[in-house]
Amino acid sequence: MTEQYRSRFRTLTDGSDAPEGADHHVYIGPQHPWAEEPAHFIIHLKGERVVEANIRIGFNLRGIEKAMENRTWRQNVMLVPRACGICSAVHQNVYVRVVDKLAGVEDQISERARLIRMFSLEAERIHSHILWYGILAHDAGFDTMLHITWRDREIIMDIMEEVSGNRVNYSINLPGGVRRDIRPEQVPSIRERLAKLRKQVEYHKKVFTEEASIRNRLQDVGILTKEDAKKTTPNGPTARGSGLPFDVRKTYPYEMYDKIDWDLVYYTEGDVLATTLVRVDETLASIAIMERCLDQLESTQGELLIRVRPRVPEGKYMTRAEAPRGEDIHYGIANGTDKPERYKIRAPSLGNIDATLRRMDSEYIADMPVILRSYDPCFSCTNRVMLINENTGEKLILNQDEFAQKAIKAKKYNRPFF
Amino acid sequence: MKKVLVMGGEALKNQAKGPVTKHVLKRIAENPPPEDIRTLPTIIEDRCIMCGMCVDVCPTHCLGIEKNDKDNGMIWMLRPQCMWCGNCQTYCPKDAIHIDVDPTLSYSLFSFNVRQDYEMLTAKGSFKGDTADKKLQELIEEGGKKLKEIEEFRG
Repeated sequence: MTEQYRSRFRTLTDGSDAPEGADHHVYIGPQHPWAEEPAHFIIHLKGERVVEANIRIGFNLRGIEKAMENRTWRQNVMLVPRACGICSAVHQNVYVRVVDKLAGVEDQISERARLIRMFSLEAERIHSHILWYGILAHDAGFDTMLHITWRDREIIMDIMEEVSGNRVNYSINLPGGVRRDIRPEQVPSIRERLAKLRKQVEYHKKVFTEEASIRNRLQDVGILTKEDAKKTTPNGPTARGSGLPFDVRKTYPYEMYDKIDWDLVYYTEGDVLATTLVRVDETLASIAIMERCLDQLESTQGELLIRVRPRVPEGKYMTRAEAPRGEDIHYGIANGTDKPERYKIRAPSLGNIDATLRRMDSEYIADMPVILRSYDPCFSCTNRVMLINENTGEKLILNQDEFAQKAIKAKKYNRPFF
Repeated sequence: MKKVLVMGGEALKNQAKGPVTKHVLKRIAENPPPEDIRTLPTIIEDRCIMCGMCVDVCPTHCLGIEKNDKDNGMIWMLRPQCMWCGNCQTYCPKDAIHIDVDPTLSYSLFSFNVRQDYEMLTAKGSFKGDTADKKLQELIEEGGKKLKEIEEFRG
């Protein structure tokens, strides 16, 4: 990188460090009708064009990593998927693979269990992508598409409710295998509904490529060229829309992705329409992977769940997976007890922020909602910070009751909380 | 290939179909939730050996146990705190935990009395009867005290 790098992450939000030439400053967030989750965007304008866009994140700190250190490895299986509302199965899958490796049972997991894990991951990718391009259409002012996509999303959610017992948080991965089997009598009805879903997604693709009102809104908007993409290092569909064919499922295969034939989707245009079409095509590819999983499940037998001891031996391991939004990285350290010493989650949205802010340069302010939505922002899984008193170095771990008591005392004696 | 009215077919179909919300209650009755849906757990008393595994693996700490040996003991649950994950069912060594479609599904979600809504899942042997009732009463009173504190704080 030859040019001088100016960070786009800000702590001050009053516009005092605005770039030269900007005459207006527009603030979006933390609470804004556009956004489902809190983030603060500072957009510097000259006339109607964006000079530079900055961001401030960190409004929703839930302390999941700290909470994981207070729970056992077995309890954390149910806490980890709550790191993100939509890509929950992939977080659980990465966590489970960390535990398998640390406990030394990763070679003993049967092919059948791995296939069922893959089945749940692809189902999640489908429902996440359909949700996302529905909301994109809503942001572009095309609400009909929102209703149609979310109606068709029910199909995949019904399938997974039957298989796993829940609509969004499947929780089907466990250390040592999977929780439930896909019974042979369920398979015909699943296949039937997948065929119906494919027909619907092909119709969605037709709307996005042919319907003039949505295509005009997305085409040639927020272009991220391949050179810019290489500098700002996006991941997931954002990178694949700009001509970087990088997918963790292909480059570092996990589970059974190297044993199953599937197509990597990527576009080279780099505008918002390209990222959308990447996701639509990936939904079709995921349906094909799910069908191949069902084909293989017919002939594959094996134990579903092998025993993993509650005490995990000392060690550390990092692994990753392709979440619907990009690359999800987990790093776990075990100290020989039944609780983790430290657990670190890097959620995919963080890697895409810089690239998206680069997209906004010299665009119209009216295109902001679509461009901001283009990387599928999910900040609640990105923000994760521990509370430490700077002066004393004291770390605070509070449960609900202790928090309430502390707050009561602070109010009673009129003193600060800490 | 930009076209106008790609979605014309969809619009015509919806015109012919009429309102969807009209028959919504009928449709709910026709499509009950699947059998394997995860909801609140119940314990089959004959199979339970009071090992405490369900209490250990519960991520929300909504289960509690008090016991003497495998035939004498009790397990209770704070219903609104349960997040229906089914971890207790997975790790139960005797398959004693049963998860079924509960007619009061939404009860735990919309109960505002989140600190007093205890339920005795199982009480065996000498813990049956008075001891269990007494414990339940204690827990409910303790929850009431916490509620009072919070109300005071809110003013």
